[in-house]
Amino acid sequence: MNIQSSAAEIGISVEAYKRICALFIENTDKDMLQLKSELDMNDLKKSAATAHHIKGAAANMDYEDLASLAKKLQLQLQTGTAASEELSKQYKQLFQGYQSIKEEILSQL
Amino acid sequence: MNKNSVKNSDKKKNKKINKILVVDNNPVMLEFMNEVLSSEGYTVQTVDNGVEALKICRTFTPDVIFVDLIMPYIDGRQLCALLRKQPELSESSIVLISAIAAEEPDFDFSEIADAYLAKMPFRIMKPYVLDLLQQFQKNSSEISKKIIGLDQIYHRDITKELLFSKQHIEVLLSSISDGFFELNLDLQVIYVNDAGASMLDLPREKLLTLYFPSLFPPELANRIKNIVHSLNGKEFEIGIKEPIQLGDKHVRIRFNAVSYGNYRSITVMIQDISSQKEAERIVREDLKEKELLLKEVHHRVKNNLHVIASLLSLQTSFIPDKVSRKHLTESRNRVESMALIHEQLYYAEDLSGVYLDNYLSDLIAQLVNIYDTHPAPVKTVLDIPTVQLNLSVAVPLGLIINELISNSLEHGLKNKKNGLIEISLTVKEQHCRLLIHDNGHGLPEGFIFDESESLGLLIISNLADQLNGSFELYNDNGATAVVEFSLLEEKPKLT
Repeated sequence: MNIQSSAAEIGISVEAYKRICALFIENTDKDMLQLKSELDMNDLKKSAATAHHIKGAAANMDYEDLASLAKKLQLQLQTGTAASEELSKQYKQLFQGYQSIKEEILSQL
Repeated sequence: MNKNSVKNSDKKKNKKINKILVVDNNPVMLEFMNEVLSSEGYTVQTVDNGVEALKICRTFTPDVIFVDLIMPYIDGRQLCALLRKQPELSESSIVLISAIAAEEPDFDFSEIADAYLAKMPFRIMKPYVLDLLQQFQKNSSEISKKIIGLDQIYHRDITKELLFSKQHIEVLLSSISDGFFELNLDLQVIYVNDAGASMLDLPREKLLTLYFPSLFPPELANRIKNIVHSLNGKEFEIGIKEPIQLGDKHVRIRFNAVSYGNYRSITVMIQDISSQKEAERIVREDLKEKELLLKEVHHRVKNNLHVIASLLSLQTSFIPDKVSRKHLTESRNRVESMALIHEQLYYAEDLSGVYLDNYLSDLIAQLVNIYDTHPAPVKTVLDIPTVQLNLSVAVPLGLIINELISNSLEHGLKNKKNGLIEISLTVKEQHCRLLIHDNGHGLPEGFIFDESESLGLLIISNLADQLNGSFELYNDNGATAVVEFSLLEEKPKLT
């Protein structure tokens, strides 16, 4: 992921794209915290909605891998079939995926 | 597209597009749209929810409004419908934007929006947005009636369930007859169901964002403000004892503090109890009618008993035999004592029973008059609390007292100077103790209650049983009778 090339691809200034990236991190940080809290409370419905939100934000930013991880977790939460260990595992994968993107973005801001 | 929509579209031909409003709860999307549109010279306003969108449209008339489909409070469909109803926005074009387009590719949006743009990665979204605006400016009739950019997003179908859940709740709230409101902490209406709008006689689009207390008369508005500010996480209801008058309706209003994570709001439920109040009025009138009827029954029973007593009295005067006359007089007294109870009930305000103090005063006066103790008048002392007895207790007790006082007047105090009858009743934890004492000659020597052949004593014994109580008779400087019974015990119904 390269901020300069992404900005050019979208057709906006680098500074504007940096603002968008910073907003993405700010909001996704909150969403990840909320998701963790909802999973801890075993609130499947609310955690599915939050995972859905993360997925949408990631898809807008074109972070397909992150969007896929969020989608996978959302599906598991909606079907309610996964054991809590499996959900924890998927949350961890999502969190790690997000952290690596976050680090990449922050290194370019 | 319906006729109206076509008309609106025609008006939009060659229109200058300048002012844009973007409504999306995702701040990243808002920033993206703001950047893309501002850099092209458009005047852009962004808001993150439908309530704010309605508010801003009072001072800012956008040429194009982009509306996200899934948002809190008012979702995109509802917001579009509300925006469509605003006359001042009749020239504005509405564009739905959503990532769930892939899940509902055939969604017919023509009633609520002029176009539908699939929410896609920012990387490829800008040309679609700008192209759409150019089309609005150029010739609206060329704008696709299908979802634009659908081929750019992956097919998926996992949001439907979330969307269904939200719509399901919306349908439920619309179907209830109570008015339901959600307020933010500034007490502005951020949600109202159909019943709520109808109760306040204002359309939903006008109600949203309004300061809730301002919808009520000043006194009630102040009351509402005080209640909401002191809710402190609890619920509160007004109008329980005395319903609130709201227009031509009687209502109850319940306030509830909502807290979830960092989210805070207040819900208000307005319940129309006009029909309930009307039903209560009918029941009250019905009850009043029944009470009148019951009083009339007591009146007639009393009259009939008096007729019987009069017939017995008349019969007595034709009988030469002293013993027979005595028996008929006793029978007459028994009938009179019962008539007196029905008389008391006829005059009483409360038909559930007679007050023993009033009843005994009248009964004793009546007996003293019948037995005519002149020239040796009998003094009576009553110590009776104001206790109300229902018919099933009052009738047997009245008959017992009638027998005991008749005995005192006829036998115990016969020819006795300074005759005195003391009657007292003590009630302790629903246990009653009636004591009747006279200072007369007392019981005959060798008197044994169980072996007595007196009809009066037999009646007393049976009636005490009927009260599930006990009866005792002994000498104590005269004759003393004690009847004990409980008001708690189920008494047999009078037959």
